[in-house]
Amino acid sequence: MIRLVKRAAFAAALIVPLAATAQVLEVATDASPVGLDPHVATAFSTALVNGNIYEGLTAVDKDLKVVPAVAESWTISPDGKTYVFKIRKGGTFHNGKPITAADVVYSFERVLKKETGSPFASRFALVKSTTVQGDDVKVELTDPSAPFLSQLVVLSIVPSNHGDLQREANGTGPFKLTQWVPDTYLQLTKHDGYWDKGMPKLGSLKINIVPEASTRQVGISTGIYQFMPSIDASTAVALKGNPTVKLLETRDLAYSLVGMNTTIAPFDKPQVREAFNLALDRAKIVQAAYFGHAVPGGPLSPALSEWATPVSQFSCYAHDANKAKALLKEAGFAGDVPVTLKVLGSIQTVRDVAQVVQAQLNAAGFKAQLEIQEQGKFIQDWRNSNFESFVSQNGGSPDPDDYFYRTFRTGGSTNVFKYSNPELDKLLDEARTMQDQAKRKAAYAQAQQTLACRGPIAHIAYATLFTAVRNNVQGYELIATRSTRYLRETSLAR
Amino acid sequence: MLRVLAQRLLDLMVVLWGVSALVFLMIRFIPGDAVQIMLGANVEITPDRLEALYRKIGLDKPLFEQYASWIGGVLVGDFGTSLWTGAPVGEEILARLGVTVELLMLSLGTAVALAIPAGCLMAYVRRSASDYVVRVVTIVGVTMPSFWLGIILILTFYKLAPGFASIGYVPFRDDPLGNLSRMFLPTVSLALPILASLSRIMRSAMLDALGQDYVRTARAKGVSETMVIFRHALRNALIPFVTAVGITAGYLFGGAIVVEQVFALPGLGRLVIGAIAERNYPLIQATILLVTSGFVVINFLVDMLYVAIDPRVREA
Repeated sequence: MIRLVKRAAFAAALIVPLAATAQVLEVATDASPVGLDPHVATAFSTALVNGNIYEGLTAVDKDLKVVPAVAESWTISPDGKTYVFKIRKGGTFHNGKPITAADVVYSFERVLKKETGSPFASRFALVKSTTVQGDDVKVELTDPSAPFLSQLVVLSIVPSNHGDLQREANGTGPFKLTQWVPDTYLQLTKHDGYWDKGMPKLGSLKINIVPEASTRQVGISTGIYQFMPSIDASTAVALKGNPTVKLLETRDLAYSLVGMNTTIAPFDKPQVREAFNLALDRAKIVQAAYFGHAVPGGPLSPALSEWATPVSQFSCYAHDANKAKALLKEAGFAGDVPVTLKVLGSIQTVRDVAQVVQAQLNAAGFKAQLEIQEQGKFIQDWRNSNFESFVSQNGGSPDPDDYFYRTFRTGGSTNVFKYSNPELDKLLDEARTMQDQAKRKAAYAQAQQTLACRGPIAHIAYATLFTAVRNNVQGYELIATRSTRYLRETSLAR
Repeated sequence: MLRVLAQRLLDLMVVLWGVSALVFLMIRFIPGDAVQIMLGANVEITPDRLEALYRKIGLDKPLFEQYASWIGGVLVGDFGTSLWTGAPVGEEILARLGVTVELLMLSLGTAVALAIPAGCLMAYVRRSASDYVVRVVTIVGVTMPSFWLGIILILTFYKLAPGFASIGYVPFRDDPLGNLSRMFLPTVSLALPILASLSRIMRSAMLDALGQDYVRTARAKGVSETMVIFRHALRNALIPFVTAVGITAGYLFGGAIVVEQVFALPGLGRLVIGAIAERNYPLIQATILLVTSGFVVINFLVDMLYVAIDPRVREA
């Protein structure tokens, strides 16, 4: 009898039209999310998951333009200090609670509250007050802030009646978290109360954690997985020419870099930092470590075409080993200058870049030593400024202020290089409040010139950001910020 | 017998207590901690906010206090909760144990089942051409690390028989065939290297036994060669072999960690690697305790097997 019922059910499953079954996108990624609280967890592996569960008032689209998300629209006062956001109607959180202006105010407060421990708090230090105004939210700033709208992307809107967000995700996004088997997979299911009716098109996302690169590669080649975000160049090269897989690509905002501690020898001398830049042959690094899938870059990604100064305009970007040696001599060094580079060991590309950098330095008056570090150790040394120099990879942001201010301003929250340049400080202070775009661009052009050769960071290269999808995956667009926002518009062709 | 058992149980307690303290301290000496890993590099955060994060997961308390509260829980069977999912550590481990135990049993079973006849055969045909061929093959087998073998197997089977290059895991009770076909490559890559080393040990143990006086006596009184090998020599050769199997079983877990990583199997190895990478202290502590007890229990079982195989040990 039971067998009969089972057979009948099986037959029924076959008869039900295929279109009615919810589409599942099998995603493969290398690492589990570390924590889920959208105001606290900032690892990339968390962003892939949270980026589909949570939204801010605004979002960034594929052209890096700010577009409405939880806020339907907004108005800005003439002095640039007061923003009024109109909140979407008709949408709910994943726990069923309707999205209201009060939740938005609550989310602001939660990020800014000390007990939350949010790393995003310093980005919103200019927020003086947030108040509910009917169905709208009024945000007052102490000073005008040009990057404010694009920064709102990271301020995820959470419901005021949430539980422990580290464990129970609860956002406004197109997908809700329905299952988490640690180190195995996360199941994200379509959120029926999503404010954008008709979205998402997929029934669910299954995010498989597959640590080994060759396993992921075979997985997408055989169709076990259909979507692999942010793959490295070597995997992309291996997948090229596979007729069942499409490679999407765009210029990455993330970049490889060498950071230098400007308070200890030898990098306390600006000449040494310039010599370091001269010693690098970025075109060769791109060939050797990125298989040609990257471009040499300065302080801003070429993806930010409106802002970035072309590298040809930086004098120290023309590789010149002799000039580097001469500068080292001028700085008072006789013989090869010993330097130690700590290397973020968890990213293959970073390790590859480090090796090429080492060889180039040794041919230009340095005696470079690499110290490959486990991720936890690297982060600790980074935070404590416990390095002479390091090789790493940083994510970028769509607005120059977001990166420059915290990284290069004296006392900036990620200025682990302890770099201090009063002229640059003044420039950055002024640029962040400028309302005139042309003037603001000129200010950042000047900042890039100051930073390119003698700043605390030798920017190396901006990779091509690859995402591999099976041929039947439709409607997905890559964003240089690595956001997977377009998964909501993705569907599977039959 | 009972006294041996009691003695062993006491040993187990002492070992586990020592390991618990050692693991607890060691993982805290690894630079970087759960909070820093969660934040990642290049993240801005003020010191007071950082402190709030430590307070939230209880890492702000003195080490001794942390240890006391943890060991107190362990004594009543509470291993704490995983830092990020909030699930009880015991549950998370139990959910993974099956995968690893299946992988270990399949690999060890396959390796032992093949190593005994292979070793006997190699001893029997010693110094012939086929003996040399098999010995070369086993040397290659011993020197192949399983993670490398795993990757090569995946890539090869993907080209030759894509059906076998399935990745991931389905529980045996949901889909027995799917389960076994997915376990096939992991088992091969874990079993092959130990098969090679075990069959070499079996060969030399067998050669040793075949050179003994009682074998000559048995042959002299006209016992058939099959009986000589399987009845007389094998039994004696099994003692060193069982010791080797016991040691291998312990170390096999190390291999399982890597193989699970390569084949994306959700076992204990994956769990502990992930836990270490995230500095998920409660999870690391519990897993290591479990593996240690596994090791001690296997050693105990091996001792008991001696008793079963060798009557002399039983009487002594």
